[in-house]
Amino acid sequence: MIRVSQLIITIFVFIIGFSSCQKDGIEINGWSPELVSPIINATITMSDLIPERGTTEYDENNLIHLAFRSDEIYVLPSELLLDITGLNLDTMVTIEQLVVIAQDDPTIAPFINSLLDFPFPPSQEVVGALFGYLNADIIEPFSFQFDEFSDAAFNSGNLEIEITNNLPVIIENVEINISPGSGVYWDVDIVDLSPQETAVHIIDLSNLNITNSSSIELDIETLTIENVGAEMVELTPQTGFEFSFAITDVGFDNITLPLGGDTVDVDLALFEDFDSGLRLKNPRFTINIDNPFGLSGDISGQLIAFSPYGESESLDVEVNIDPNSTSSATYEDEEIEGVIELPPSVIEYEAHASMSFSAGDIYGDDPLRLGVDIDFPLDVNAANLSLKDTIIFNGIDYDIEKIKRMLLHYNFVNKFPLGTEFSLVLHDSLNPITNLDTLEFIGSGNSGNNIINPAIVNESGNVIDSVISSGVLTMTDSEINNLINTNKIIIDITLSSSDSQDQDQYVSIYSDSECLLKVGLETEVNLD
Amino acid sequence: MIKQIRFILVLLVSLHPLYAQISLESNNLDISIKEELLMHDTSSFHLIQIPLLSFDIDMYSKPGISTFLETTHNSILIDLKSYNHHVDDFSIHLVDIQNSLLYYAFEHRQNVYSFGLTHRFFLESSFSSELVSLIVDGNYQYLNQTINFDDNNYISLCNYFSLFFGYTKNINEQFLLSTKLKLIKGVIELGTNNHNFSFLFNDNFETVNNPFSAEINTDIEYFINSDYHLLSNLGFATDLYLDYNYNEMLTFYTKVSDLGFIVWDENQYSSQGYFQFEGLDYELDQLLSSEFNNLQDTLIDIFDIKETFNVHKLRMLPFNIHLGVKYTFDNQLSQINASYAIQKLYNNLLHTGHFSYVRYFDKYGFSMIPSYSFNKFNYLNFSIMLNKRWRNSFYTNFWLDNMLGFMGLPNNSNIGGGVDLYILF
Repeated sequence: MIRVSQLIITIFVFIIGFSSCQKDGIEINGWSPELVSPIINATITMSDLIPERGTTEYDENNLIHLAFRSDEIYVLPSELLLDITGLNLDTMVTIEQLVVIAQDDPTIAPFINSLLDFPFPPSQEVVGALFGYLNADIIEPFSFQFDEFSDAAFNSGNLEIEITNNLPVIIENVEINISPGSGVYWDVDIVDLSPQETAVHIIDLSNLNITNSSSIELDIETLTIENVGAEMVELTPQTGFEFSFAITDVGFDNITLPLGGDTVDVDLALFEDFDSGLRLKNPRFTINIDNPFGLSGDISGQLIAFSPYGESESLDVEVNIDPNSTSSATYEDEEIEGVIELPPSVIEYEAHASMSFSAGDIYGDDPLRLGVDIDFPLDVNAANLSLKDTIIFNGIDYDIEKIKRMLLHYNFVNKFPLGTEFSLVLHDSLNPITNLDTLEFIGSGNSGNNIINPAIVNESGNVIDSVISSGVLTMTDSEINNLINTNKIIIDITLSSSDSQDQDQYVSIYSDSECLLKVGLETEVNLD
Repeated sequence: MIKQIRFILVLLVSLHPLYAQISLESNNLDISIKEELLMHDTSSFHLIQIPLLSFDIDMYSKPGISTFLETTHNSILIDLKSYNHHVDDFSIHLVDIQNSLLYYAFEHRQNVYSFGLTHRFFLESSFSSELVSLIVDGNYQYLNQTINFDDNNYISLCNYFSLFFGYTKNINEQFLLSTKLKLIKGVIELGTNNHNFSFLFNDNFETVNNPFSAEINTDIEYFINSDYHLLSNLGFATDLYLDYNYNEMLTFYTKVSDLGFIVWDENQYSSQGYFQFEGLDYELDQLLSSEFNNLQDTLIDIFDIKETFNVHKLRMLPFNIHLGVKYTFDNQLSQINASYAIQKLYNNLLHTGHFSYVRYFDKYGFSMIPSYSFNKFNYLNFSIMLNKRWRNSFYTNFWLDNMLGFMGLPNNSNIGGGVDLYILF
């Protein structure tokens, strides 16, 4: 019979034998499957790239327009017109002002200063002989400014001139020359005007023409004041002359009102995506006038459009103003093609109104309104349109070392009516200055310009069939790494008419136009 | 005696469970079962097997293990590309380890009664060449081909103990009958079952579709036992041995082992779904990560795993059946044995033909039994078994299957061997 010790030795040998066969681990070799899989079908519509906001509008057929309408680009309130018909100007020439002027004359300044306190206290008594030195020579010509108009042809009305004597002595004689504009002079002669007395002089404005003027000049040619000798008189700061001009019952055959200039407050962001040379089909720029008054005339001026690069184009505009009605002027096609080709980033205006009216034509509280109506449908011919959109991407947590190769197969179904350059810009938001990489999807059979052929359009410029471009992106290790690590993918699309077969063909860009990028993955991964 | 019992108990609880008893049925000594040996030996009435040191390991692998598995100093290297290259129609891997934890038999009035405890670990897996190639080389090679995975793709594992009572009796001078009734205690069971799994990947270049599209259809089942209590996963089985001595030289015999079942308490998981995928549809106003999450949710919904808990499932044991004939030469020192064996596998049968020659060296109490067998794994399986009787009471058996494979020849689709130690007293 076998001994127990022999059994134990046998068992020990078995245990040692088994444990010596144990390995540290199992390694797998030669496991590199080649895998293919559909990945994504991305639909990019024009509405993604050109969203409907601001001045970008879609019409009922989803055609994209740059559309802007404002009824109040400029407002001419009734108060302004009433100010013209009831022009009323007042001014004062005080002794104190004259004393100030006399300070510049060394021959009389010491003497005047010896007779009165200067600056003037609220009240002081001076010797009357002082007024003997007050004559026309020391009163310089002065003017009354008005901004309401510059040119005017009056057919009726009166200019009422009032001169009030606020001196403590009698004005024995004063001759004043008044000129409202070049070549028009009125002489006003007043005698024996007692203290606190007002002299009124009325001038008939009928058939008066004022050209390029916005002020009334006054020149006191003669001034004789009563000499009271050594009699003491009281002076206050208000002591002097008061002049008042009032227009009444005025009527204009023609009056030119400067409307000034400003920026047309229209959002032109849509044009930011276009390069210069843009041509549109049937663009319209309309100026509307809503005139609630009985006046008539026209508004003329200039629209000046500036490109982002400082180039400019101008458009001369002129719109009739009809009494109590609306009127408009529309500029289309060739008239505004220069402006569109910029394309504009800023539009400014400079305008003036020439009107005929009388005081009775201005009524009610509503102002005269000037508005614009812009409609630029994206029926484009020559166009280079650069559009972008962003995809937030969380990246892929994968060891790039395991990827032996990666190919992205794609079918690009282009329903955009323009040649399309399509790129994915890989971006890392933590390092926003530089892009990680750019994956360019190149059309099959392209001529080296990376442009994917446009969809097929009919004579009206509408897409009737899509065009398919297929290809494969063989990704480098760097591109694979960047794709895995990106957290933001920017879709960069450039639409261009440069590859169009028919250079005169216009194509319509609809918001529901789309392109489809369908991507499948072919890869070989090392799973050893 | 008490010391011996103590020693047996220590071995029972301390040694690796894979050390076990060999079954002798395929190794063709003059006796096919140990009970028969006890009946022929008129000087001994008891037989006890050395506990835990008797085992039989059979491993079949197609392709052969050496074609895809290498060992280095520190690791085991599995070459999947080579594995894929050597799979013809399907691969199959079978591990059958049988241990005899305890065996005792005694003779009483020409009847032999036996008791014992055995353990069996049976693992079988099969993968079709399409599945292997799909996993190893990927799906690119199958573009535009519909691949259907048939029922050759499965994994089945069962692990159970058998507590048996055996009874052996000479019915008459010609017939000997030996039976064992076994109470089975299942320990671990798991498996996968493919009812219908197919996929198709197409390329769609220069079309309006995604460059690739996929159709996947699944009907897969997975099960694992759920209850580990002592009285769960019980079953019954029987072993049956019958031989017929046609004359003094010619004997016919048959033997059935582990014919029975276990009623498993198992959890079943199944997934049925059809999914057509042509890429994730994405529009720019959507959030890409959300869309991928939605796709993931969709996949989970489609291939939703249906769970059924605590199902009582009756599963057959991996039984085997032998039919054989023995011819003993006049000198009683040589014997020729021919047999045919059927082994139940998961969903088919393994047929094995076997020839052996027994040469007994009486002077040394030593038998050498070279044999040749063939089945679908190996058509050139040359094996050797050595039997030695020590001091008329201690028997040792050692056998080694597929010697060509051990010698480094390319025929290495199976390996096996075993040890059997027992004492007659």
